[in-house]
Amino acid sequence: MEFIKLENVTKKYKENTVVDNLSLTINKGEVFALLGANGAGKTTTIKMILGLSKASEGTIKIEEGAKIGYSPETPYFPPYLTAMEVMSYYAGIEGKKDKKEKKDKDYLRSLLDLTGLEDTKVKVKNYSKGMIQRLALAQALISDPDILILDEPTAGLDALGRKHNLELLRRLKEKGKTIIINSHILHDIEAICDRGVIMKKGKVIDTWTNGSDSESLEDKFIRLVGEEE
Amino acid sequence: MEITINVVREKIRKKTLYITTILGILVVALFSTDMGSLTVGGKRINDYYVLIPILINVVNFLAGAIALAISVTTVPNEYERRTSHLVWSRGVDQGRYHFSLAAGNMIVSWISGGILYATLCIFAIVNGYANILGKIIGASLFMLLYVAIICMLTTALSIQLPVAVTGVIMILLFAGGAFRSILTLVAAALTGVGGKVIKRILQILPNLAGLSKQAGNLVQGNPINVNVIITSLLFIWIAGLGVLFFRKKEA
Repeated sequence: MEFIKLENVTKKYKENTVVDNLSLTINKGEVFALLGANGAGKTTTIKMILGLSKASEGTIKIEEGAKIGYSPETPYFPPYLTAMEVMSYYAGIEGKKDKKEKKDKDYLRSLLDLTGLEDTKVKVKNYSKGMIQRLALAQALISDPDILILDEPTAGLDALGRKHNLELLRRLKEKGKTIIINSHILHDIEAICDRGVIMKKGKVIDTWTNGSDSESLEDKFIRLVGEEE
Repeated sequence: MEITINVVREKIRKKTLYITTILGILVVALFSTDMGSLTVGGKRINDYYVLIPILINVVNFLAGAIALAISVTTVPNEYERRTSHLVWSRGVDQGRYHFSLAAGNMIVSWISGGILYATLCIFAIVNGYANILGKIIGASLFMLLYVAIICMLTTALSIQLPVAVTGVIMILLFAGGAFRSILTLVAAALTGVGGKVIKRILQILPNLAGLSKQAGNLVQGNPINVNVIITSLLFIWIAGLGVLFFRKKEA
């Protein structure tokens, strides 16, 4: 079942074409990778799917009623808040919180637990980069989204943190979530993703399906993206 | 509401807010305790009743300065830190988002202005003028309008313009509005092109000086010019529409 469909999507900033005639389909329950070097157009593609940026040409169709959760690459959270306060803030924006309701607090606490964080009095300013990344993932899950869009979800995490996040993503996949990942860490992509596209200068230069190639993703990536670099 | 509360939580941590508010308290305290030595136009001021309109001008000006200082970076910061990504992606309309940010700035500035008005009240009591407390509190309503004009205008401009440009334009509008009476005198004195230009400028300036004057009139029991209130509300309404309808192309 097609969940997200991009047809001939182009994004231009004045004369600069950042995404060029991109077409791709992401199915329900799939973990899909957007791959490419810096400046390949991955983040712009994500921004267009999220509605943060309008496509100059083409259409983006998302399954009607599908909820989207987003974890940015460089998340900023108010440093004077605790993790729970950050969660309450975003839950409040979504209108999903009643401060008096214990079950709402328990739900938010369960999301923190899921991402390996605790409901403590520690402020975000004292968090490591990895903990902030986990908090970004936790807030993306507030609406119990059908689609999760994760921009570099394992960047800045130590080996344990990466393992934890990958296990979490596997669990989310098992729950039937559709996940789009933009990552430079190809081992993580191979560990979790079903399919993906490799982008270069705004165009899809190849597709990738987990387990179908004799060549490793890393070799393929270097061969394709490394050319002319 | 969450966004507004968060702005309040963030802004109350700003040093500028405390420095300006403390400065205001000191000015009020200094003038109020050293009344006998003050002269305006060669006349010695030894009546708190006479001094109050001057202090209202000072307090409103400082509240306006606070409003400008905290409003100018709020929207640009949201987009620079990309906090906007997490708000937009939750389907929050830009108008609601920007208005919530402006409201947060307004509340913080009002609180600050309120503290300064409370100081005026305390010194009124100290100087034996407890009977005008109600009027001072009434006069603070003009401060609310004063601050709302600055917050809304600054926020509206900051959606479309870079911080530095918004800052310069707002300083000019703020200074022009606060010292409007001086500009009016200059415009009347000049008969050439300069005078005409200043008269045109006066038409687009918010009448901040007028608001402070009406606040002083209220305390002193003089008639209030309702037109000033109406034009100020109109200013807030137009700037508010800017906040609601000015759009960023990207989050």
